[in-house]
Amino acid sequence: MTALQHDVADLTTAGAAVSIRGVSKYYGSFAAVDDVSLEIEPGSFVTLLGASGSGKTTLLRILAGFLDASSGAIELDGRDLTRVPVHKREIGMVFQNYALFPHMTVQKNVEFPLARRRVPRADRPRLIAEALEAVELTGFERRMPTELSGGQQQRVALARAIVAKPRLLLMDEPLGALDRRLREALQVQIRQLSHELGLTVINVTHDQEEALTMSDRIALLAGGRLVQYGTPYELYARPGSEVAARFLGESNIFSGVPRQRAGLWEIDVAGESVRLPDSSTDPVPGEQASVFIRPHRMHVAPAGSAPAGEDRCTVTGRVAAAIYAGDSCKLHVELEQGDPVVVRADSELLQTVATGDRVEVSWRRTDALLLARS
Amino acid sequence: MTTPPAPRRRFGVDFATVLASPAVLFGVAVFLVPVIVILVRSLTDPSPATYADAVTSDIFLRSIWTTFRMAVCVTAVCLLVSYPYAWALARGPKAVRIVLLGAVLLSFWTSTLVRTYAWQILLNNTGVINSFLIDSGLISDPLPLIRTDFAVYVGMAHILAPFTILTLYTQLTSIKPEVEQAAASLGASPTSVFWRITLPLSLPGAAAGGVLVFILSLGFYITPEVLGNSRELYLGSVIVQQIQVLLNSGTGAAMSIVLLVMVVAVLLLVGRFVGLGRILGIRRGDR
Repeated sequence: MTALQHDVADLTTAGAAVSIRGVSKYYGSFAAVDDVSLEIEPGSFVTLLGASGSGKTTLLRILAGFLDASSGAIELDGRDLTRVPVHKREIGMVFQNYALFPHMTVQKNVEFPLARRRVPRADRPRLIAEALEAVELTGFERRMPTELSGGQQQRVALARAIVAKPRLLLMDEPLGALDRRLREALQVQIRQLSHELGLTVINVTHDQEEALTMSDRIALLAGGRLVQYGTPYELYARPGSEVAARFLGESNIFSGVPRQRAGLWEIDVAGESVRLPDSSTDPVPGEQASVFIRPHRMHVAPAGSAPAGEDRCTVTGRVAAAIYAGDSCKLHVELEQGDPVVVRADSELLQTVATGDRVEVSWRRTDALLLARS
Repeated sequence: MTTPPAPRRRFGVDFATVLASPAVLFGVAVFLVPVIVILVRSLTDPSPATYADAVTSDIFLRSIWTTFRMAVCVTAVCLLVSYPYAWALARGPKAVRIVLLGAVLLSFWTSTLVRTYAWQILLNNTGVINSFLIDSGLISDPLPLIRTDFAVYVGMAHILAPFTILTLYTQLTSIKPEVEQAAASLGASPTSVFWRITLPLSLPGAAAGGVLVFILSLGFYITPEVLGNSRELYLGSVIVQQIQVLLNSGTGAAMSIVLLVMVVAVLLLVGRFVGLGRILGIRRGDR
């Protein structure tokens, strides 16, 4: 009885807990991955998010075993994986270009991991059928990969990756080569499947929307370092740093040296003294600080008609551009000083505000957030 | 519904055809006309009875057997030698790849005649190998290396191996690394990845190179002549003998046509399995 003995009642599996401890990967003196540590709970869907060159793919390849880390360790349910070769890691992997075996039928492709892991021949047809059913490709067994569309190929790749009940499913930009509509449909499908099967999934993407919709947790990487690790809500609503705020969604960021007046912190924005939000972390006196506000939290009104109130901040400016986008519109507003701000509003606003108009931009004080300097 | 405007054409000829016509004319003049001349010659010099002479000639029939046996062996040797070479060329470290590619291309660009005589110098009774072995006292009489099938096979394999190396190399580099990585991630050990993924996916390259070498070696003349045994005649030598020594150019032409028919038969036979376009290097795209 080995660890490879399969309980073949169905495809559900106990996903592994993954622990990444201080992993670095150096090429010469360049750190592609720089001291990244992550704890991944069993059965959770974690996305490694970052721009190209952020180290996300390198980290995934280290997890898969295609690359050796320069330092650090990876554990799967407490077992050190560092010295375990790729083919003994009991992982499933999905690649951006599908990587189906072009000389094998769909059936043979999905059977491949079962055969390599010595699943008894008699059990294979049922497992293959279940896996293909899970990705809604029943009846495609005899097709060759070239006879399938991109979306179908990726679903075969997914079936092949999950059929042997891996402890960990790795996905390297799995939806990157598909068109938008298909991508959204597959996002939902993959998400449901991973939950039903209880898989631990590590997904790599540069698409923030994909990360936000699919993940239990997002690990945001930049320049090889882990910027922030948290739920999609935490990353979007409470970015811990300017890098995180800029990467996820649109944001307006103001910097300045905060002053304290009557127990409240203020910062200069476009010549206006703007009160900082209450925050658990007080700014350091005399040091630069940044606040950020999401464009859809800002309100634009013709000059003189902005809603006033103790809890609101208001600055004035001129509309530099008004962009119509169907249900919403985007305004670029030049302030009297400093960087222009971006405001997202209902497109009805364009009935009253046009390019060149003087406007007042206001927001609730609680919608602004103090960012840690990084 | 309006009909789309008809493409402008005069005399039913489009621009691409005009552009291609010099090349087509050249091809017809240089490749097709000589074959037709030989065909006509074989039928009229003096009569179609030349074919009866050809296929009843003992020497000719024996040479067909000798030549096919040689072609099979040379193809096998080429493939066996080329596979590891092409593998290293496709997957090796950069320095190794540069050296290997340089070596194969240099050999490829060197005249067949030069390479054949180089083998003669190596294999002669007083050649490099025998001199060395005798001087070092390992043997007293020279080994019978030259004028043997062995010499022909080695020389031919050396001259033709670049074809199998390059077709295998092209095929191996067209295998996406992700496909092999996927196999590894799905539990296949490195040997299993090779036997189940890499080898099957490289077979079309092996078939293309193999057919190329097989057909080229059927018509080889110089190398068997210089390195081979004069009692074991190959097809090329028999045809030359008919034309130059016996002055039966009609019979020689008939033999050439028989050889041509056999080559086409082999191509068609293998083409059924591999696809002719692949062997000839014409691809209709990957999908």
